[in-house]
Amino acid sequence: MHISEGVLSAEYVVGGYVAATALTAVALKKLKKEDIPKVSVMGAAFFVSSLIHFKIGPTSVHLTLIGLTGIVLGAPSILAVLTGLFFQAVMFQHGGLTTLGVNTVTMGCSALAVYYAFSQVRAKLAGKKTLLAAAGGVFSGLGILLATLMVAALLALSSEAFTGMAVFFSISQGILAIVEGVISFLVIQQLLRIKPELILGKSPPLTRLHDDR
Amino acid sequence: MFIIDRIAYTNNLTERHPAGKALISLPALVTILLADSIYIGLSVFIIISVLIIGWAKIKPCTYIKLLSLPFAFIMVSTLSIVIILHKGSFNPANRLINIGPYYLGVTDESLTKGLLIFVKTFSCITCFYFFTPTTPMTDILYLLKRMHVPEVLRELILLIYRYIFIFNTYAKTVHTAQKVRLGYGTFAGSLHSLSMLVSTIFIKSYTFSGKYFQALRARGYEGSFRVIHNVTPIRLPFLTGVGVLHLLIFALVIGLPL
Repeated sequence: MHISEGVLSAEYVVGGYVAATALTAVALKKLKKEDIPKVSVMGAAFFVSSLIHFKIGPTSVHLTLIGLTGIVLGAPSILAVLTGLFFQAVMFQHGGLTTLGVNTVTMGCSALAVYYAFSQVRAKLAGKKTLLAAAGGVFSGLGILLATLMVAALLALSSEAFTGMAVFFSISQGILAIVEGVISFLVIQQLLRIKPELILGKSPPLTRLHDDR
Repeated sequence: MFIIDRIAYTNNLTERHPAGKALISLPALVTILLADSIYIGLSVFIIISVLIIGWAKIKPCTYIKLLSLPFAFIMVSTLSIVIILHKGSFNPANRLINIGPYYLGVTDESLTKGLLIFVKTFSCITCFYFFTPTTPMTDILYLLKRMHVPEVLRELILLIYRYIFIFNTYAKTVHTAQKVRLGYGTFAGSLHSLSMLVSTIFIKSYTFSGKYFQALRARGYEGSFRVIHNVTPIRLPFLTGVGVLHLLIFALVIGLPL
């Protein structure tokens, strides 16, 4: 899901960083200080989950879980995506630091889109758990497709030579979208059974920072 | 555990000022991106590789292992540039496969373009390999602080960095346990196992974050970690060396005979 170093030209790199900075600034405003440990722990959980490779036929894909990130974290999911991509670039050289901005925008936007779509149906389907989980799964799959479309469009726009790359990329990501949708469905189902407040978003913070009596 | 993290604390440049190392890799990176040529990309790749092996004293075999990490990923993107989709009139010598009215093929142009992207990407990665694996995370955070990255963001990076190691161990253990019990034997089974693994990581980390926050509050956490940074200052000989290096690269770019 990420564009690697040296592929995009300078104007796209700069544009990506500008857009990513704007998104991050909004997310930072929405983040309460007492949520920092929660966002960081969940961010790490997403990062680790995305390290697990999954065999499909001859190839193996790894999950991105951006849909689930959006659903569980809401607006601060941008921060989790940004730091996750930062670590992927620093530790594994997947993606890259110059393309960090662009990648944050494409993946963060789809996380936000999934969050928005899911929060629309969450209240209506709160009683019907399987249906809610299915909605979450479908949205997560669509989220991957959205991110894929954005990346493919960027590649095709930045240079004509990348059109083939964009097509190839879209096909491989289409498969991932289906797997990701199914996994998200199953995970949401499990979470609704075991810890529903993670999905339904009614969790009171265990301790507050500034309500000391 | 992660190879890069181990190297960060054991190489020859660990104690150097992070900004000093960034002063070497960033301009080189910009040069590669702007010059857009195979020749410059290769030259910078060689220069930085010599620095990594000779100066940072990262063992050549470790360095090759590092380079091989993103290799498959880059190979896929390069191949998808080299092999192009074409419709209509097309030199038959270049055709590989016909799909209806379309042809998959390789042209001289696409080969050159693919090679250029391959070299550019690899030399960019080399530039980062001069910086990231030689610098411990605390130094990177210090640099981010000096760059006025918001405190909350740095806090998140610090905490996520810490948790990645904890949860990775946990995830690996559970994954092995599932594998041993043939949890990944069938396709349906692996979907089920993977979703169980992901949801346990979430639940575990969610509970953990609550406890962690309470523990921090009990120790006087006010929303920020204060870390002492010990950095050695950048000295003049170092700066001169960096200047000479970039002059050398610049001379390559404008094509001076050396």
